[in-house]
Amino acid sequence: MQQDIVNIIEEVKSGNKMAFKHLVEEHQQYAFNVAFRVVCNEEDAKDVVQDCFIKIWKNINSFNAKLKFTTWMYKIVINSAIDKLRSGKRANMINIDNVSEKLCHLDLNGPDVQIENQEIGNIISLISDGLPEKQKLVFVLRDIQGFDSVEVQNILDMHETSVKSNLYNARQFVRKKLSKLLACERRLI
Amino acid sequence: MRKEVDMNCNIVREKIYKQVYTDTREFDDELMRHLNDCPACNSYYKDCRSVKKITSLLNQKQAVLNNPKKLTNDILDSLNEIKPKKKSTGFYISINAKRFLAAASVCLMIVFAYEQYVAMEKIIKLE
Repeated sequence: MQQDIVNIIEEVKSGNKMAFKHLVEEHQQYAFNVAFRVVCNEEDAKDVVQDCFIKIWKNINSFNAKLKFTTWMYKIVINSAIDKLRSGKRANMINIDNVSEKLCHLDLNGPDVQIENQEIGNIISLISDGLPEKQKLVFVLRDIQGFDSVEVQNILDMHETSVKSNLYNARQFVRKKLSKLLACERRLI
Repeated sequence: MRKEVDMNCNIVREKIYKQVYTDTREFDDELMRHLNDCPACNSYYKDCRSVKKITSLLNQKQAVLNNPKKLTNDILDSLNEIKPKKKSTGFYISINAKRFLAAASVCLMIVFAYEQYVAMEKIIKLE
């Protein structure tokens, strides 16, 4: 698999668009997931993914083959997502009552439960809006995306202690926010 | 007395945080008694578990990319006017060659300085 990606990247470096198409098809869902969790909006996440792959095409020769391709890609996704967030386009105002209700019924055990993208986006937005940028990124990548600490450090170019402290502060912020918002939280436990 | 209670609460909350987020076993009988007696810490514990539960559920929920083929095509279409940056084909000097050139220039400076010194010596003697 690792050898495959190395070969594909070599092809892309030589300007092979079919190889690049294959690279996009293989990785765009992963890139979309991360982008969506940061920008909390489907259209913005698609823009971020598109921007990310254009940057990859432009800068593929600067990719260091000693690194994991996905780590490099996620770095680009995060930078593009930050640009998108800073550009000021915000998600629609969320109806807190509805989200609280959805949170209470956020149950993966039920076979018929389908949460639409925007509902997921609303919930992530609800719990992470108001966090400082670094804290939000660490929280989203570590707790919501589920990357391990080392991967978060590599993607964000942050020191271990910085990741830990930002994560701690983010979790405290989210805890306080949720305890105020959720009247039905006890049913989740 | 108040300070002592606060300190206990801080320690308890540190342990709660570790228990919830690092999956280490921090709870003992004393801590459980504290949780029973202290509504604030009890609430803190429940809130931490709620956040953990919600983030874990969100972690398992993947946002689905609708119409991935269209996105792939959009990306490929936008590449038409872009070409990947080629590696620099300019004059390339390796790091060892740079070190050699630096050492050579220092040697030359020493030689020139010595010649200058000798020339000055001769001029002084002639004078």
